[in-house]
Amino acid sequence: MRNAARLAVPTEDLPDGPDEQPGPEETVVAYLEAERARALLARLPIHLRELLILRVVTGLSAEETGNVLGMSAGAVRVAQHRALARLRALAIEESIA
Amino acid sequence: MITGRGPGAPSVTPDVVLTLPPDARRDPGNPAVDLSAIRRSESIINLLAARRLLRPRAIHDPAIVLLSVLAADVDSPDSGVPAALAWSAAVRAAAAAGVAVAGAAMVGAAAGPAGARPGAASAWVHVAAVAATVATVAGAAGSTGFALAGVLARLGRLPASVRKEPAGWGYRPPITGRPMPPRTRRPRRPR
Repeated sequence: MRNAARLAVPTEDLPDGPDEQPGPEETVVAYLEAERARALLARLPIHLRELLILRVVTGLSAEETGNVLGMSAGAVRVAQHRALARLRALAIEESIA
Repeated sequence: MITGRGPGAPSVTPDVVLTLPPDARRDPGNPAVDLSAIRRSESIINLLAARRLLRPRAIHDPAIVLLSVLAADVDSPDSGVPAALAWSAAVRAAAAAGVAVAGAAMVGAAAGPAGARPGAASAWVHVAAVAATVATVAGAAGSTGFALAGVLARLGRLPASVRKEPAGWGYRPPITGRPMPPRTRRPRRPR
């Protein structure tokens, strides 16, 4: 019985390098931060929210975003600056509260 | 005789206080405030869109941090956005063409990442469905137009009794010779 427990058990090859994937804590923190970002983004006006998502998340250029939203590229740049300022103000207001 | 110096340029004269219009002071994002801030926002958003802003927290701007977190969350493999790249390429092409339908798809996409977390995957599936619907409608419109062109071409032809087409174009020459006898019923066999 004792000898049987000491027998080598063949297993698959172990990974050579360390696991680069985020751990449980990092995953939870990222999830909470994303939740906060979405909640703050939801407080923006709808046109600013769409514009920011098209520009940042989707990666459209100002001209392409203008084509989609029916705006000029200059208007898109001004509106995205307003959206950033509004989002910044919301974040500061939330952190103070 | 020079009695004193003039006010000089506002940027180098410390006594001059620039006053903003009331609307600009109320709205922190007013474009009349600073043109360089607009350019700065543009460059930062371009970096965020290209996913090349490596350390967004070093900027100490909560809005930039929020947007980078949002972009990272969307880009993560477990966000339920596996087909985002292909979809984005399709929408990019449509957006470059200025298609209004793509605008509707983009609005639907905007609800995706901004929506609730559990519904992120379903939202992107919804976006993919919208894009597929657009493609299907476009394909159906193309095939319908092809069929309609065929119907119109058929309608444009003269009736068979009027047109005189040369042989070899589907024209069947009239049968000449002895006409066929009228059909008669075969008499039944007596049982």
